[in-house]
Amino acid sequence: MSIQIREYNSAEAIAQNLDKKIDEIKNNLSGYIQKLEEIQSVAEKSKRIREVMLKLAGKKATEESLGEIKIGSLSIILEANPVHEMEAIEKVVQSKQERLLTLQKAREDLKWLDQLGDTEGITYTVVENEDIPEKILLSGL
Amino acid sequence: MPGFKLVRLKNKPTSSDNNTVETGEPENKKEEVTVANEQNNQQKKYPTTTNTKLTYEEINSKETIKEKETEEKQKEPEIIMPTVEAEKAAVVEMKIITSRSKERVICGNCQKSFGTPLFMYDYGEGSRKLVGCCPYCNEIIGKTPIKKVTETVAPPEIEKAEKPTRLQENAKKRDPTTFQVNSDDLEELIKNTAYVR
Repeated sequence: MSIQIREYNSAEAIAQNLDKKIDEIKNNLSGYIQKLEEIQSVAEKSKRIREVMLKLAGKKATEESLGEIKIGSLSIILEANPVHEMEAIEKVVQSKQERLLTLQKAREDLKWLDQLGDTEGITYTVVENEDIPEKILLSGL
Repeated sequence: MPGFKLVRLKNKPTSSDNNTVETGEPENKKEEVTVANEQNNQQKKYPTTTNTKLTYEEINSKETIKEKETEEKQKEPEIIMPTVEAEKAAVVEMKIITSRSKERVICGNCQKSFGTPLFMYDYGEGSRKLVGCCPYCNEIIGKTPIKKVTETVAPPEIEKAEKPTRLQENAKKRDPTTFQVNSDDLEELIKNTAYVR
């Protein structure tokens, strides 16, 4: 959670800034989804091979991975396989997806600002939480 | 038999009328019940005037409400403020989406298949709508792809009429006045000319 204050000269500038962020995150997200598509097939194949090999050997799959070490809140995975990578990308995709929707909602809420028209001399001080406007302070009215 | 007597039904004569034996008391009760039922049925079939008045008023009131709504629409304020969110939060919507079974989707625009679409809000129809998009071409899933304008610039029929076919071109090249000689004929011609000399 990072809260910051930014100053804008017009309402359009706030909207433009949000639009820019939406486009940015959309491109970012589509890239991650494409990566996920690629790795998903590889991960599924490796999973299947692993299952078949374990069946043939007559052993049960151990849930505890020996290659994972936890240092404080950080977990380090040694010998990472495609499944680990897929899980990581899935998490990123989910969070980016949520962020895109919240940004779009914020942009929708700012639509009324477009109707204000000429607002010369007014400064918009915006309190942004994670780049999403939470509070707008109009000064110089 | 005591307490029983032969009764002929007035309204419903049947073939076995002669053999029917009914009691006197229940007949009266039945008649009373049937009269009451008939009244009820008549009320159901033909509702009373009070009911019709109510419905008429209702219809009138609906019409007035519609008129009021149209008037309100005309008198809308210039600045439209955002409404209070009564819908689900983005996080909740995402959880619903992710909980659904994953199916492969083929994009109608780029023909690529994918398992996880890019979800976003579509404001095209005035209201907010959660739609899935193709991560490769950003086309909304389920929407018919818009054909490019360049495809329909020149109709092919006009081109055909203007451009001559290959056969026509060859025919034009072949001038009937020109002298055409095969390789065999040419050899013979050379021999003949030599002999003449």
